[in-house]
Amino acid sequence: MTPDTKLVAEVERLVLARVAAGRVAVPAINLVALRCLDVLRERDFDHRRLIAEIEREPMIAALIIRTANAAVYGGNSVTKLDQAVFRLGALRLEVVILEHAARKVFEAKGPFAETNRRIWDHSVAVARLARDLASFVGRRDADSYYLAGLLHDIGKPVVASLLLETQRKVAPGIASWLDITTFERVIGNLHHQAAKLVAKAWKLPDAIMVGRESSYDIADRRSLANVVRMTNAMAKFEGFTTGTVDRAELEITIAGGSTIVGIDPEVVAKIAAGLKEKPIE
Amino acid sequence: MRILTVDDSSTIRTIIGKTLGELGFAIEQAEDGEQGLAKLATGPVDLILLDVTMPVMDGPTMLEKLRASGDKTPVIMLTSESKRSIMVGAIKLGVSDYILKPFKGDELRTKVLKALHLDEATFARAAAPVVAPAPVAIAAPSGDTLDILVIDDMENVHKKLRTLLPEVVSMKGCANARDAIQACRDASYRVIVIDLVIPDVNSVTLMNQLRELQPQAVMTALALRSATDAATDAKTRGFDDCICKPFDAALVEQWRIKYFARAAA
Amino acid sequence: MVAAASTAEKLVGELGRIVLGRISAGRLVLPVMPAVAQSCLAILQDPNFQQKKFTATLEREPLLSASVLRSAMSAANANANVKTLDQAVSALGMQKLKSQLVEFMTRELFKSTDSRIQSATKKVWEHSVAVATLAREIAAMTSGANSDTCYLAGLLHDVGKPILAAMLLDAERKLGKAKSGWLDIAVWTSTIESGHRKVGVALATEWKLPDEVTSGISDCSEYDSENRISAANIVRFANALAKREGFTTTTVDPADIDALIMIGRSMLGIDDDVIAKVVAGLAERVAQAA
Repeated sequence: MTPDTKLVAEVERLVLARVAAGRVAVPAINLVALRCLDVLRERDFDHRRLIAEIEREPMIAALIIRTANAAVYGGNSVTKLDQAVFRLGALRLEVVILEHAARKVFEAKGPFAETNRRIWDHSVAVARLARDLASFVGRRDADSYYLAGLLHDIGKPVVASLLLETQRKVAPGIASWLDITTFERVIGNLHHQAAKLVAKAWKLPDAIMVGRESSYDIADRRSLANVVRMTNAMAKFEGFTTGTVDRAELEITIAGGSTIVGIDPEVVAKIAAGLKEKPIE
Repeated sequence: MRILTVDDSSTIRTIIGKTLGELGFAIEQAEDGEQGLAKLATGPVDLILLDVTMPVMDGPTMLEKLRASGDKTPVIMLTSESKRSIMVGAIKLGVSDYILKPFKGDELRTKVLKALHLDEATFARAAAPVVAPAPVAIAAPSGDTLDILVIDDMENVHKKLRTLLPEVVSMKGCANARDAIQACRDASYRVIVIDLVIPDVNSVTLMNQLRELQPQAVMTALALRSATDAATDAKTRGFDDCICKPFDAALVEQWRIKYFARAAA
Repeated sequence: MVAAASTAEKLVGELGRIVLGRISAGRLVLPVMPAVAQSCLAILQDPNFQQKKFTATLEREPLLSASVLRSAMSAANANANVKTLDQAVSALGMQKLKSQLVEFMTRELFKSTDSRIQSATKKVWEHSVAVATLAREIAAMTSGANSDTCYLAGLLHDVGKPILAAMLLDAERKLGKAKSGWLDIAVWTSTIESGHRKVGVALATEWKLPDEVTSGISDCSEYDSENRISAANIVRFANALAKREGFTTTTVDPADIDALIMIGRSMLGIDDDVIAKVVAGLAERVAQAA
């Protein structure tokens, strides 16, 4: 069903007005997580201060210890938080904490629970592919690629909630004033604006907030933006998606990415093929 | 085409029969090496899928006897055995490939088609009913003039374009600027296709260099289909024409018949 | 020749006993290992890790410090602001620092000032870098394998060779046999080939490396069909591929290599076309990294 363009434009106007007026409920990041990130981003951060913050949130502390004990790290098992913090380092800790916070956004209960779960699965798929592509070409900042992939759709649940709220005010009592295609169209058009609000509230670095580009950057071929654009298409092509997709369009995006990023299409296909074999945790 | 599967597991034989039967192959079965040789004595097959560990006669023994008799039928070892010493022996006797159990249907299909020198497209054509081709009037190329030179760093692009052109249209592919320049010194081309995104190469500069060597050639830009208004952009840069990739067969055909004799209706 | 072969067997046995004994007693002094690197590793492995002590020690080795700083700066996203060594150490964390240290120490292990073995160990190093590079790329294409772990496993899979070579030289000197060349090169090579894995495993255990890395060193001859996608299998496959591409230190049996590659392709689910893409340009990538 083709969305009514006038309706889409009107709905977008309403949503953007809310955004401009700052009347948007940005998903809250756990306060402890935010403070930990603040500490981690200080140039010479104090480990004791960081540990003291983490200790306020047992779930985050447990997650960090569990991550530090992953087999990939080897060595003796770690039982104390300070050992875990030193083992992982600031860069990895930031990824762990942000992933935990982002997962909470997509796990929130409500009318969009199922859609949000699928967006999360898609985001993790993009994150993994981005990290794998970065590793394949020997990049040392694979963690940044992972984060960029993970957060590229963080604005979508925000727009979805905003639409629901707008509906309650504009068309109360009507079960669904927007058909699903219009709904998806509006989310697709506006989620990057919403992501900016999340980035501001969560103090996310600009460098990892990518995904809004409509074409590849030839000047910086292996940039975060290029890789996320390509892996976004790859993930959808492999079925990690929330709605219908135009497979021909995805093929074009992937083929273009292979050329720009400089990875042979057969190798790209092989990297993508491994995605479904490992379940999303 | 006939394939013989030699395996003591009826489940494996059934799976193979189903997977390859769907592709149109006729499947013969044997439970061990002795039965396998007996089957082959009644008539040849095009490919053998051979297990290693079987009662009565194992796979390596069957293979040895087969080769000793002069039979060169391609063999794929299909086994749960991963010891290299067994494979070394098999390779010395001549095997095409190896599949480790448990296996996925895709791997079986790909390796069988490869062993039989069939790719997906060829296999589809081979399976399709034969239709007499429409008569085509093609201008005969001169002795040292070739039809198309394609310059793209990805060899897959050359291969793909080749499959979309009739066999009478000759084509050469080059993966870098140096080879392209040499090619233009060695022969003449009617059409030269240049990828707009070759690493470390300015495609417009290359086009101008090649135009010096081949003033008669039609310079065609090869653009990404996602690029907005690729044709106008190409013309602005000095190209005579433009095609896009990933290739669309109909558009390639439209482009092709502009420069080579049109097919008869 | 028979006498020389039996001498070699005895030598392997004796050397193995000495080396393994020293490793387990914590007395293995690797002759070419910079003291700073060893001290840094010891600090990293102390359960009561002290960052200031680590940074102060690291600063004494300029090449290693520069490498750590570079690594942190390239790994950091825009907000990380890494400018000093201490910040780099905080940013990377012990695990990444350990990987860097291990890479640095491994590279040092492969250097030799002895002209007789210099060219041989250089070839082993280039082979190791080729295996590591291929292993990382293959891991990126296979679900369930960690690229960094596979890289390290590939780099270290022959680490026992230069250690044994150094021990043989040491033995020669002590026995006053330096000039006579008492072991011909063929026996030297076979001694190292048969003994290096145990030494490599002992070293990896001593350095407390992940099990996957240790298993990649322990045996490169047969695949593990129970754990198809594993660092060990990937290293075995990469090892065979590297040899086929000419990165080899001994003569190879082509049928043996073909067998390993054929089995590995099915084990890991990688087809010939993809392999061709991965090995294309390998020589250049190895030259840059080695």
